[in-house]
Amino acid sequence: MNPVIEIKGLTKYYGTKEIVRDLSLTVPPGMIYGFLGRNGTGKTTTIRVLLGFEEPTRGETRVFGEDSRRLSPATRARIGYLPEGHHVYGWMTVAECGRFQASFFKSWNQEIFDAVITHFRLTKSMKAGHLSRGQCAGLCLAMTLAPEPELLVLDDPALGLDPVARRSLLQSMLYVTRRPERTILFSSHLLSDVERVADRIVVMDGGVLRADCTVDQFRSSVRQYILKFRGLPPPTPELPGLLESFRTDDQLAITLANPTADTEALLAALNPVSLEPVEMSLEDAFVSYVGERGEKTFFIREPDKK
Amino acid sequence: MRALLWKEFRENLKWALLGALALGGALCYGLYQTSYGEMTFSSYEGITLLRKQFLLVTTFGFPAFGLFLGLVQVLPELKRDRWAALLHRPVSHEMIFLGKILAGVILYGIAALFPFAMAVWLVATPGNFAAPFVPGLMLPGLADLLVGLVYYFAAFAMTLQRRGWAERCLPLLAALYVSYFVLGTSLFRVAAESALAMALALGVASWGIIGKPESLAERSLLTRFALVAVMFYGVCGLGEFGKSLLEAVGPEPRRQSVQYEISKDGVPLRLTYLNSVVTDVTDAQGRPLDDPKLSKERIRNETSYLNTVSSYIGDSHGWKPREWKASYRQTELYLSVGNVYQFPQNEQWFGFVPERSWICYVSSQKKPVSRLDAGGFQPVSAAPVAFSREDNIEGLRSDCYVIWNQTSVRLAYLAKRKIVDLPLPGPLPIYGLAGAYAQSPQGPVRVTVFALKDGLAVYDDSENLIAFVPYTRDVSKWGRIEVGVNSGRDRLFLWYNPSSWIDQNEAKTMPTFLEVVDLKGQVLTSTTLDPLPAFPWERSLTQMLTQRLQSPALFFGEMGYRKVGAIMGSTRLENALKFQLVHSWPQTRELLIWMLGLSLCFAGVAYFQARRAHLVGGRVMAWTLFVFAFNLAGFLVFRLAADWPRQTACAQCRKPRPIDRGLCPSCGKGWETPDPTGTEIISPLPAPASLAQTT
Repeated sequence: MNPVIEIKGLTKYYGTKEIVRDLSLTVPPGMIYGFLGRNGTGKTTTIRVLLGFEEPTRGETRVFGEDSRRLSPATRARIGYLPEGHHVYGWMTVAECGRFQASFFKSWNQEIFDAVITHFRLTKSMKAGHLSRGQCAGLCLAMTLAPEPELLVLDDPALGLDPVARRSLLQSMLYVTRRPERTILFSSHLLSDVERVADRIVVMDGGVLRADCTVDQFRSSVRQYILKFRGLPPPTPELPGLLESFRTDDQLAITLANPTADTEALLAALNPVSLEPVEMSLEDAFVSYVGERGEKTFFIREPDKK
Repeated sequence: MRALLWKEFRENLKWALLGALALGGALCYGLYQTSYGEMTFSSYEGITLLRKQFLLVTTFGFPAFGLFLGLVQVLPELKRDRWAALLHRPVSHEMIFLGKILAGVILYGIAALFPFAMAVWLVATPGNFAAPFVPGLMLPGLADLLVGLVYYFAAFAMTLQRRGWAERCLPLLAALYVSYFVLGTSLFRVAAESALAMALALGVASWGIIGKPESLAERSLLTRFALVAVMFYGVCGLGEFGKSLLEAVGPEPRRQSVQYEISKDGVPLRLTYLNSVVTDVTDAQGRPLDDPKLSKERIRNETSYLNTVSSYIGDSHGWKPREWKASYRQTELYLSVGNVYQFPQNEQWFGFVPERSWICYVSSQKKPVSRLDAGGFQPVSAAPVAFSREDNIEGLRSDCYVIWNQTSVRLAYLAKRKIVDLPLPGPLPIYGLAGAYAQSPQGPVRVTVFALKDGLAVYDDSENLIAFVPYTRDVSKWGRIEVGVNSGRDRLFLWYNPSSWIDQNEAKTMPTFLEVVDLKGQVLTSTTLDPLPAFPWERSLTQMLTQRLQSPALFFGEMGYRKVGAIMGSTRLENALKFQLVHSWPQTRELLIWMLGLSLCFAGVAYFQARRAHLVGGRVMAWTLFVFAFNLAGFLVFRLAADWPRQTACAQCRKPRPIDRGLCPSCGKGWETPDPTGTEIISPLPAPASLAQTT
C-alpha cells in the first residue's frame, strides 16, 4: 500500500536559520500520527511544507504520491487541513461558512457538518465573527471534516481551548474519523489527547526527528530509575541514552531512553541502597524526552557541610 | 469561482462604495469648483473634464484607490493561517488569483469608472455646463483609470512576494514610472498602451508569485520575464526619482548666452545672460552704455516685445512649418477656448479643433446660441460647414476674430454676429499676421500687421489701415520678420531675420537687420546686427549622469532605428543620425567611451558577484550580458531580481555554500546528518513502495 505522506531529507530554513533538519518520515494509510515537540521545533513548518504553503529548502515531501510543491486541486480535495488559528470569515454566518466551503468540494457530507456544529451547540444563523474560540474551532472542524477527506492534517487543533471544548473537538474527531482508511496527522501539546487517539507519535526536537514509534513503544523506551543512597548521591555517570537526572540529598532520579540490561548494571554499580524503575506517563516521558538534558540538582543541605 | 467572487465582493464592496462616494465627490468638486461668479472657462485652466482640479482627482485619486483596493484585498489574507485556509482549497492558486482580480477589477470599476462615467454624463448632458462636450475630453480620465489598474496590480506584486523591501518597492516604482510616462506623453494611445502593458506585466508577475512566492526558479518563464520587466521599469522609476532629486538639490550648471533686444526707442542692444539673469548690457557693437535706464538691473522693463509676423516671404523652398500638436491632456487638442465678453450678454466661444467650426455659449443659460463656420454665423441647429484647412482663425479682440487665408481677410464680430471683409492695400498673397503692443501713459497701444507680398499692412485698433510699409531687405532670404511698435504709435520696429526654411547652422552665420520706420514707410534708422557668438552650454550633473549611465542596448537600438528609418527615406531620422555621427561626433565618441566603460565595469562586478553567489547554470553569463546591455539599471535589476541563493558556511571548507544545494560547490561535500544522541526512539515502518522506486 502506498504511503499517504512521504517526507525525505526535508530541511527548511527561514532566512539562514535552520528550522527543520534532514527530516524523513513515512505515514501509511489508516494511521493516526501524533506530531509532538516543543514550540519552535518545526512541527507547523513541516506541515506547511507538506501542504505546499512553504517550499522545502532541501529534500522532498509527497502527499498521496504527489510533490507537495505542486499539489493538484484533486489531491487537495483529499486532504482536510485545520490550521492552528481556526480561521473563519467573521462576516459569514455558520451556514454561509458551510455553503462557501461546500462549493469547492465535489463530495460534501452535510450530515457531518450539521452533526459537528450541533455538537458544538452552534446554530446556522450565528455570525462566525461572534463565536467563541471553542465554537470557532468546532466550525473549522466541521468544515474540514464534511468533505470527508482521506487525510486529515490538524495543526494543534486544541490550541487555546478550554477542557470542555477540547474534549468536544476530540470526540468529534474520533467519531467522524472512525474509518479504517482515513489517515490523520495532528500536532499537539496535549499529551493526554495524543495518548487517547494516536497510533504512532513523531517527536521533533530542535528541528530534528528524535522519535518515530507507537505510543507504547515511546512510553516503554523512556524509563526512570530512582536510586536511593545513604548519603549524598554520586554525580550522574556517563550513561548511554541519558535524558536527565535529578540529584537530591539522598536520591538520584535518572531518566533514560532505550535502557538496556547493561545500563541497569551501570546504575547498580553506583551502589545505591535501592534501585527502582518507575512507570512513566506519556506526558512525563515526553517532558523528560524533550526537556533540558543533563543533571539537575536540588540540595537542602550544603554538600560540603555534610 | 463563483464562491470566490462572492467572498471578494462581500469583503470589499464596502471599500468600493466608499471609494465611489469619495471619488465621485472629489470629481464633482473638480468640475464645479470655480473662482469666478459664473462658470466660464480658460484655456489655461482647461474645460470641464480637462479642468486642472478635475484632472488632479483622476491623476491621483484613481491610482490611490487602485493601490488601496489591491492592498485591502491581499494584506488581511496574508495572515499565516488565513492565507493557508484560502490556498488549501481544491482549486488552483491561479484560480484564486483570478477570482481576486476579477472581483477587484469590477470593484475598481464601481469605485472609479462609475463616478467618472457620471461626470462624463453630467458634462455631456446639455444645460449643465456652458461649454461643448466632445468625446476627446474623456481621454485623460480614461488614461488615469488605466493607471489606477496598474497600481492595483502593483499592490498585488508588492504584497504577495516574500522578498526584501527593495523588491517589494519596485512594483510601486514601476507604477510611478508609468504615471510619469502617462502624464508626459502627448498621445492617448501611447499612454493607454503603456498603462495596459504595465498592468498586464504586473498581473502576470503576481500570477507567478501567488503560486511560488519564495522561488523564482519554480515559476514559469513568462511570469519571470514579466517580473524582470516590472523590476526594470521599477528601476527606471527610481532613476526618474533620483534625477528629480539631483535636479532639485544638485548644483546649477553655468549657462551663458548673448542676444539682441530692442529698446523702447528702437535702439538695438546686446544683452548677456547667465542662467536667465542679465549680467551685461551693451550697444549692438558691444560698447558700454551710459544711460542708467539701460542698466542691467532695469533693462527688462525697457525693452520692446516683437512678434513674428511671417516665417518666410516668397518661395518656401518646400519648407513646411512643423505642426504643433497639443497633448491629449490639453484642451487645445479638442477645443479652442475663446475669451469671454459681456455685452450684450455674457458669452464665450469655443472652437471644435478637428471639425474647424465655432460655437457660442451663453454662460448664464449654459446653452449654445450661435455657430460660426465657413458659412458665417449660423443658428445652432444648422449643420456645420467646416472652415477650410487654409483658413486661419485668430482672436483679434475678445469679441472679434480674424479669419484669414493667403488671399483674403475677414473680420468676425462675435457679439454683433457680423462678418466683414478687410480690404488689403498691397498685392497678395498674405504670409502672416501679428499684433504689436506697447504701453503708453494713456494705456496700451496695439496695431495689427499683415505680411503681404511686397510689404506690411498695418491696422489700428478699429481695423483702419494706418500704414503700408514696403520691405527694404531681401525678404526671399530674410523673410522671418518680427514687428514691434513704439508707445506713440508713430514708429514701427522691423527686424529682418533669416527665413525659417534656411538651415539653422547657416542661419547662425547670417546677419540680421533692424529698421525703425515711420507710418509712411520711410526708414528712420537701419542697423545691421552681426551674428552673435554661441556659448557652449555646460551640462548639469544630472544630464552627465543620465547620459553616461544610459543603456548601450537602448542607445544602439535607437541608432539602428534611425539607420533603418534613413534607409527607408525618413529625412528626419537621417538628419538625427547625421547629427549624432557627424556634427556632434566628438560628444558622441566621449559618450560612447563613458557608457561602454561603465557598462563593462558593472557587468564585471555582476559577473564576480554571480560567480561568488554560486548562481546556477548559464545564469552567471546571462546576468552579465544583461547588466552590460542595460548599464546601471541592469545592475540594479540584477541585484534585486536575481534568484540569490541563501548561503551558509560549509562545515568542511568553511566557504559559503548555498543552503538549497546538496553539495558544496567549493569542496563537493554533502550536508552532515544530525548527530545521533543515543536517545532516538525509531521504530521504522516498512519502506514505502513509491520512495523505494524514486531512490
